[in-house]
Order: sequence, then C-alpha cells, then structure tokens
Amino acid sequence: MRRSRRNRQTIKMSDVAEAANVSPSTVSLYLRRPGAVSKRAGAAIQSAIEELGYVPNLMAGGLAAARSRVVGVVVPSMRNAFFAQTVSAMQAIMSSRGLQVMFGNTDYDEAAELDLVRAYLSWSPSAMVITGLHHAPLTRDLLRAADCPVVEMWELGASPIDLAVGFSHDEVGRAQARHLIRKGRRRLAFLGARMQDDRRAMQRADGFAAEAREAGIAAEIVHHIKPASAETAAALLAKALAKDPAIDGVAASNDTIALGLLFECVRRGLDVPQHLSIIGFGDLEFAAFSNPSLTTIRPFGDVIGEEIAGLVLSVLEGGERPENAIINTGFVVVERGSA
Amino acid sequence: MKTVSSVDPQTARRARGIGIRAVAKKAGVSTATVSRFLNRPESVSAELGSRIRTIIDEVGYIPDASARALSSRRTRTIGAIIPTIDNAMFAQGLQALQRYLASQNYLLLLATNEYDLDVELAQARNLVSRGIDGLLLRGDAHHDALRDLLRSQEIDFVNVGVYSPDKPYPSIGVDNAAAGRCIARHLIDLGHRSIGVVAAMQRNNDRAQARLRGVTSAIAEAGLTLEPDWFVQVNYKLDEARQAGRAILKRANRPTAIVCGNDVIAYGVMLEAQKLGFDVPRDLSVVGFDDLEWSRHLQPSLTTIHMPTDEIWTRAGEYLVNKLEGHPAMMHREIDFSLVVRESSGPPPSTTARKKAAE
Repeated sequence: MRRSRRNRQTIKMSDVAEAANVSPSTVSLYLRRPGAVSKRAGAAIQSAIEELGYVPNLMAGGLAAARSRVVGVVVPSMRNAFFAQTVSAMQAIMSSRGLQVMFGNTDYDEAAELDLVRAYLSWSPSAMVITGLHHAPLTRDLLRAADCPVVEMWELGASPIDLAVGFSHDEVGRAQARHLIRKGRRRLAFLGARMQDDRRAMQRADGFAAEAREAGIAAEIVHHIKPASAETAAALLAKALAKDPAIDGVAASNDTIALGLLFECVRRGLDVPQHLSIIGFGDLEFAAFSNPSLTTIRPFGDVIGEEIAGLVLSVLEGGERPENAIINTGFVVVERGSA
Repeated sequence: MKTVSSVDPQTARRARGIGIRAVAKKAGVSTATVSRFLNRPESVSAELGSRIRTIIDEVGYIPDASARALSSRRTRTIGAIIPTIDNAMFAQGLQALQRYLASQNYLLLLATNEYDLDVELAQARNLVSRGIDGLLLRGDAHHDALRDLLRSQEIDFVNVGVYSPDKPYPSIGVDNAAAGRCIARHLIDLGHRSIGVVAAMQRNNDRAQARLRGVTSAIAEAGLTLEPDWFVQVNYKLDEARQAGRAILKRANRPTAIVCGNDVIAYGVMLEAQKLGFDVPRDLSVVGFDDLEWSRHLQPSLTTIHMPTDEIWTRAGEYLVNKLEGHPAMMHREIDFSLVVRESSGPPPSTTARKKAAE
C-alpha cells in the first residue's frame, strides 16, 4: 500500500475505499454501523483507515445525519469505583464492535449533566448512557427526543425514558436493615453522606428506615452533606452516637463511609461487631481486607456494564427494540466480619 | 508534497457546517458536485463555483457543534485520555481538573485506554474528529502517529504526570525518579540493608518505571543490591499485592523493608505481612507512594510519598486554558512531592531479633 504524505485533512473516504478494495458506500456503512459489513471488509477498511491516517469527520460531505460511533456516558462521580467498573466493562465489549466510549463526570450537578448531554447529542452518538432516573426537565426532553438508544443505569424504579439497567436502591436499604435485625440489632441508624445530591443513597436510607419501622425497630437517618471520606465517616459516627449512645447496628451509604466508620471505631475502642455492627454498600476492593472484614452489599457494576453493551448493540445491529427494556442486575449481601 | 488547491478553508468549513445538502439544493446541483468543488474548485465552471461560494456565505447557519468547531475553531471542550478511572489517583486528579475547567467554562470529556497505546491513538482520533480544543494525555509514551495527529490538526496538548523539561512538548508532573530515590533513602538512612520492592506493572507506565529507577539507583548508590527474589511487579490490585508480599516474606532469606510502587500495593503487602505474623514496623518496614486517603488511618499508619495530584491536574488544565486564550503558559512545570513519615517504617530489627523472628 503506498504511503501517502498528503495532509491528512485531504484524505477522503474514497481513498479509504480504494485502499481497502471496497466501494465508498461500504466504507460509509462501516463508519456508521461497523457490525453491518463483513468481517473481512471491516478489517480491510480499518487497516486502510490506520495506514492512511484518515480521521473520519462524519459532519462533512452531507453526512450530518449519520451516526457517529461514540457512546456518550454520564456518571455523577468518580470517587467510588462503582462507575469505573461499569464503564470498563461497557468499553471492553463496545470497543470490540467499533464503538468508542466517551464519558463525563457531573459531580451530581444537574447543569453539568445538561451540558454533557447536549455535547454528546450534538455528535449524533450511537447511544447515550446516563446514571440514574432523575434528570432536569430539559435534559429529559433532550434525551426523549434523541434518536439513539438511551440507557439509564444504576437505578430502577420510576419508568425509564427508553432502556434501563440497574437495581432498586430501596431494596438495598431494606436488605441492610434486615441483615442487622437478623443479627439481633435493635437500635439502628443509617449513616449517609451527600444524600442531598445523591438520590440513590437517599432511597437506600428511606428503604432502611421503612424496613426497620415495619419490624417495629427504632431507626435513625443520620446525614452529612460532605462527600464520603474517612473524615465524613468520623463526623457521622459522632453525630449518631450523640443522638443515641446505645445504637448497636449501622448501615453506611457506601463502603468508603463503612471503612471510615471501622477506623473510627478502632480509635474510639468500640468493638466491631460486638459493640456495633456495620454493614456497607458497594463491596469496594478494601471490604474483604479490612480488619474486621466488611459486611456489605455487592451490586454488580461490571454486569451492569455488560448488559448495557448488550442492549445497545442489539438495538444498533438488530434495529429492533429489545424485548427486555428494563434489566434488573440485583445485588447480594456479602457477610464478612463487621456485621 | 504538493497540496491540492482548494476553496479557502474558511468557506469550506462553513459549507461542511451547514450541510452540503442544503447548499446543493439551493445551487440546483448534486451534493457530489458541491463536494467536488470544495476539494477541487477547478473541477467546476467558474460561474458555478462563484454561485456555490455565494450560497455558502449567505446561508451561514451552523446547526451542530462539530461544524461550529470547524468554523470558529472553538468548542470549549477539552479531552483527557487516561489509562483507567479504576485508580484512586486518576479519579481524584480528574475530579480536580474538572472543577477547574468548569470554573473556566470548559467541558471535560474523558476516555480511557487501559495502558494500550493503540487504543490511546484511536481515542485521540475520535476526540479530535469531534473538535476538541485541547487534549490532556497521561505520561509521554505515545504513538508517533498520535504526535503527528496533534501536530497536523494543531491541537494544544499537555503530558500529565511526567516532568521532561528537555523534551519539546509540554509536560507537568512530579519527578517520580527523585521521589523513588527519596523514599528508598529514607529506609537506607534508618539502617536497612536488605530491601525488597513490589512495583507497579512497568509496561507502558513511565511513572512506574521512573519510580523504580529512583529506588534502584538509591539502593545501588548505597552499595546494596536488589535481590531478584525480592522484586515483584503487580497490577493495581490488593489481592496481587498480597500474593507478592507473601512470596517475598515466606522465603528463608527475606528483606527487612519493602518499597511498594503505590499505596494500594503497600496496603496489600502490609496486610499480608501482618497476617503472616510480622509486626510492622518492628519486624518489617513497609512504605508506599501516593498518600491515598486511607494511608493516614491504617494501623500502623503508612509512610509514603505525598503526590499533589489535585495540583498536577489543575495546573495541567491551567496550561491548556492559558495557551488556548493566548496567555503566557509555562511549557514545563515540576511539582514538588514530599516524604510523609508515619508509623509503618522504622529501623531494621537487630540481628538477634531477626534470628528470633526466623525461628
């Protein structure tokens, strides 16, 4: 293949077609739906693209209506490993089918979420993946009007805009309460960080309190506005003990808080689980290795990513709306040493 | 290298922006003709060419961001390609970067390449074709094709996490080799003569390579050797770090201190050491790198190198923003690290104590 030293901006789709020995329309189809061309053609086209250094600008040449290969992903935070696992799993499958995952962090800010959604939609993405079911009205309108699959992830509950993959946070909170009650704990508290922004954490707190109430057991919700950290956990524990010095079972809004609680208990000489049982959420990597090891709830972040990829690909390649538009990936209680 | 003559870039960009179909319709010709004209104006008659040009100027409305980018060259979007977000340091740094960029009214778009240079190149191509204003890259090991792409598309970029003042492209970071040397020296100064290393995976990771270089050079300068049996590379996983710690500590001949490539590795090594019955630091010193949030809370608290991640990424963002807005911008910037001495490092056990521990 002759190596062209031409300015890459002048390399056109027809050059790629010629190099790959296919028609320009096949190249065009490949750029829009890589799964729709034969493997052999796809490989030849991809290698021609790389050799010639062609940068597909799908906005040129009247292809403004064509879909780009970008999947726009919106996450609320990068502090926890949750979303990292999901994005990783999603990307592994999608990139093998020619889709490229781009993501952005909103830090729980609705205006930032709108900006990101707008930016992605301006590229005619192949799909949109957004965290949670609650969005600002304008964001919701934009997503509804988008003509690509839209997946809301990490939360089930209200009706999704299009597709949804996740689990019920109310159920998680209830499972945390049930576990503590089964262990004989009678004075409970849910310790949550940043719940004014994190609706899913608030749902867990509410589920926890409802389950306890239904079992006739005292339960408090203790809140701190700062994000989850060791310091926040220490502050939460202090607040909880001040409210009720006799609490014997706590659920944390996530494992970062739970770990912080463990450290604080060690400092205060509070025996875990004898004096105080602690159950977390997330099963972050540290959970198995802390002392005592952390009892927690494990959501399946990587499965969420895999299911999202599967849904998106089935819509893009099959052209049909999948039978199961809502996928519940569930969770399990992982019992270790702290509760 | 003859460049094909074409319509002036400004006009061509605007045409692409409004959609060639609209132009073609107004001109009463096919899209293929307009496209041909934009790439080779001499392929149509002078009269038609002039008509098409006029229509492009008249219509002017640009419906989408990419086209707007082509005509005004500003999307107020910045891209960052990092190995992974499943890493506390990257996650933290990106959060700080994003806050800064948001304060300057820039949108941050992220892509991960999982330490794969081919994927990095593909992601960069993807971001560039969307029309980003600037790009942050991790480290300075990249495909030549990526450098060419950035140059030919005139994209401002900066390498984050390395400090290479002698290279012609912008970098901002910590001198990881100096930091590696510093923490190894700390152990040597405490009296350790047998030192082991559990490093991060070296492949495609110049940061890990630099740290290791610093550690091994300090060890060599002190006239010591790093025993091959005391050197392991692991991924950023607690479990692997534990296994590495186990492999080193179960030997009859073992080191009195272990330098770990980062704090996550140090946690794993320390946990395993404690599980095997070693008292840290009395029987074994363990040190890390990065000063993650948990390091000060562990028991014993972890001696480590504090990396000013927030500052590194924020300054990298500042460099790009300044460059884009035409302000002076320092091309190379070194950020200081600091040694944080906590409880996990101490003098080596005395010879008698060691003999006792070995029994």
